[in-house]
Amino acid sequence: MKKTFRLSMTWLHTWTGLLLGWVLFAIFVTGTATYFKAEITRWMQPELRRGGTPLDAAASAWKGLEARAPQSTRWFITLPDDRVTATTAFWQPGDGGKRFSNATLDPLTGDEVKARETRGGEFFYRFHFQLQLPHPWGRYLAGVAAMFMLVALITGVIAHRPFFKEFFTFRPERPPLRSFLDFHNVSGVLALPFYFLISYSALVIFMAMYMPWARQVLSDSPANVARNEAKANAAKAADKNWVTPAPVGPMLDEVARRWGLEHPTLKRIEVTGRGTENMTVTFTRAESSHISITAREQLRFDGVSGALLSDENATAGAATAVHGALYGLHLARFAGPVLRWMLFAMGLMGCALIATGLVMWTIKRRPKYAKAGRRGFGQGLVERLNIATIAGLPVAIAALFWANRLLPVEGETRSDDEVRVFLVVWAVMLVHPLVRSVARAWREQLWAGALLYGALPIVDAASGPFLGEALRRGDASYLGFHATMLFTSAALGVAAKKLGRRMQIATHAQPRMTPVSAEGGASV
Amino acid sequence: MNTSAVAVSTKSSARPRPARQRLAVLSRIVAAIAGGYALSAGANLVLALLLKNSGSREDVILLATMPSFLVWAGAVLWAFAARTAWRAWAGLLAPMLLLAFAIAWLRS
Repeated sequence: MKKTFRLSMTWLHTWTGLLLGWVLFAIFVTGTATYFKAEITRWMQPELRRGGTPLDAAASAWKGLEARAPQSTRWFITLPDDRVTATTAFWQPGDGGKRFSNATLDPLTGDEVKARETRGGEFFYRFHFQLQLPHPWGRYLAGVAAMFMLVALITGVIAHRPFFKEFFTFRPERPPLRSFLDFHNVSGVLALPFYFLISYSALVIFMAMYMPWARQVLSDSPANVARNEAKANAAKAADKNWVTPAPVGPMLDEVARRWGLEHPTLKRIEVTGRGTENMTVTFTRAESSHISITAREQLRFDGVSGALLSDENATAGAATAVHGALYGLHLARFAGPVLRWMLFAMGLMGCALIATGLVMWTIKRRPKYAKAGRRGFGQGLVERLNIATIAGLPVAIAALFWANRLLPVEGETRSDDEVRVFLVVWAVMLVHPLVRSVARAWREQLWAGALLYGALPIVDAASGPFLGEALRRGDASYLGFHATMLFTSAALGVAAKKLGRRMQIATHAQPRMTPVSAEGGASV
Repeated sequence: MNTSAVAVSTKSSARPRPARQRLAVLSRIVAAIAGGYALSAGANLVLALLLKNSGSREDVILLATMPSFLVWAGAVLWAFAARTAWRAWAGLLAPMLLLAFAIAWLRS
C-alpha cells in the first residue's frame, strides 16, 4: 500500500504495534512476573511453612480430604516442591455439582492453612491471559493481542532489516529517537526467537477457542460418543452404593520406590470415580524433567483394589508432541533457576521492546505537531496511555504488594480487596496524566514507582516478623523477591532521572527536536 | 470504482483524495482481519478433512489447527503488501474459493 514492500510493512508494524501495544505490555509484564509465580505467592503468603517430602504432604493431604470431602468423587491435589510451599486441593462436591471447592493445605498436617487470604502469584498468571475481564473475553482479547504481536514481529523484522547488519550500535548521546530506536532494535533482535515462540505458542495454547473448526467438523466421530457415554455412566454409578476406596499408603510407597523422595518426584494426584468400582488414582511426576506438558510420567492405580494399572500410554502422534512442546515451552515449568532467570530477563526485554516502540511512536510525531503548534487528539491520547501503562502499571503492581502487607490479615475479602487496590491505583495513574503535563506525569509516575518498590522492605519489616525471619534463615526465594523489587525501584528511578535530564536538554536546545532523517524515520 | 484511484497516491505533495484513501485502508483492514480469519479457518477445515484418516482424532485436530495462525499472519501481510486494496481482496478471495470447493468436495 506504500511505495515499496518494506514501507508497507513498516506502516503495518507501526500500527499493529501501537493498537494493542498497551494490552501487550500488560500481558508481558504480568507474564514475566509469572515465571516467579511460586516465589511471589511465598512472599505474599509468608505464614505458609514448609516441611516433609512431597510424599509426606500427599499422605497428609489425602487424610485431610477424607475428612473434608468424604462424599466427593473427584479430587485434584497439587503438592509442594522446591518452589511451592503448600498443598492445594480441588474437589467436586459429592452431589456432582460443577463448582469445585478448593483449599490450601498444610503439608505437614493436611489441615487448611491459616494464611492471609491472597491470590498471590496466581493473580499475575490469571491477569496475563484473562486481563481481569469477564470470561471468555479476556482470553479472546489476549488472543487478538498475540496475533497482533505475531504480525508486528514479522513486519518488524522486515521494517528494521537494515539494523540487523549493525545491531550492536548503541548511540546514547544521539537525539532521543535514535537511542530509543537502538534500544528497540537491540532488545528486539537479542530475544527474537523467544518473542516468536511466546506469541505463537500463546495462540496454540488457546487454539481450541480461537480456531475450533477442525474439531467441529470432526466432532461426531465414534470416539467422542463413546467417551461421553463413559462419562454419563460414571455419573450414574456415583448415585448408587458407595465402594470403599483402597488405602493410599501402598500406592505412595510404590510411587516413592519408582520416583524417589526428592525432587523431581510426585507433583499431582488426580482421583476420579471415587466411591465407584471405576475409581482410578493417577500420580503425575514433577515436570522439571520434560519440556513438553504432554510427555509427563504418570502412574495409575485401580482405586478399589489398589493395583498398579498397566501403562496404556498410547503413542502420541507428531502433532501432539509438537503441541505439547509448544505449550510446555510457554509455561516453562521445566526451567531450573538459571534458565528461569534467563527467561525472566527475556520477558523484561520484551517489556522494554514494547515500551520503546510505544514511546517512539510519540517522539516521532512530536516535531510535526511542534511545527503545527498544536497537539492532535491521537498524539495526546497515545502519550497519556503510554504513561498510564508503562509507568502506571508498575505503580499499580507495587500498590498490590503494599496492600498485601497493609490490609488486615484476617480480612474475609482481602484477596479481592488487594485486586481492588491494584485496579483503583491503576485508574488513578490513568487520570493523573490528564491533569499534569506529559513530561511531569512521566516523571512523577516513574518516581512514584521507584519509591513504592524501594520502600517495600520497610513496609514488610514494619508489618510483620517475616523479613527478619527470612534474613535469619537465609531464605533465597524470599530475599530474592526483595532484591528484584529493589532492582525494579532502581530501574524506574534511573528512567525518571534520565527523562528529567532529557527534558532539560530538549527545552534548552531546540534543534534536538528537529525531524530525524527520512531514512531513520522510515524505519520506525 | 476505479482500481487505480484506490491505490495510495505516490505523489504525497498533491492532495491524495483522503476520503478514498481512508476507505482503501479500511477495506484492507477488513480484508486482513475478516478475510484473513476466513482463509485460515478454511485452511483449518481442509487440512482436518484431508488428514482425517492419518492419525488419532486429537492428533489430526492439532495438526490441522496449529498452522492456521501462520496462514492468518500471512494473509494480514498480504492485505497490506498488495498494490491496491482490490488486489488485496482478490488475493484472499481466490484461495478462499479454492478452499470452499475443496471443503465441498471432501465432505461429499
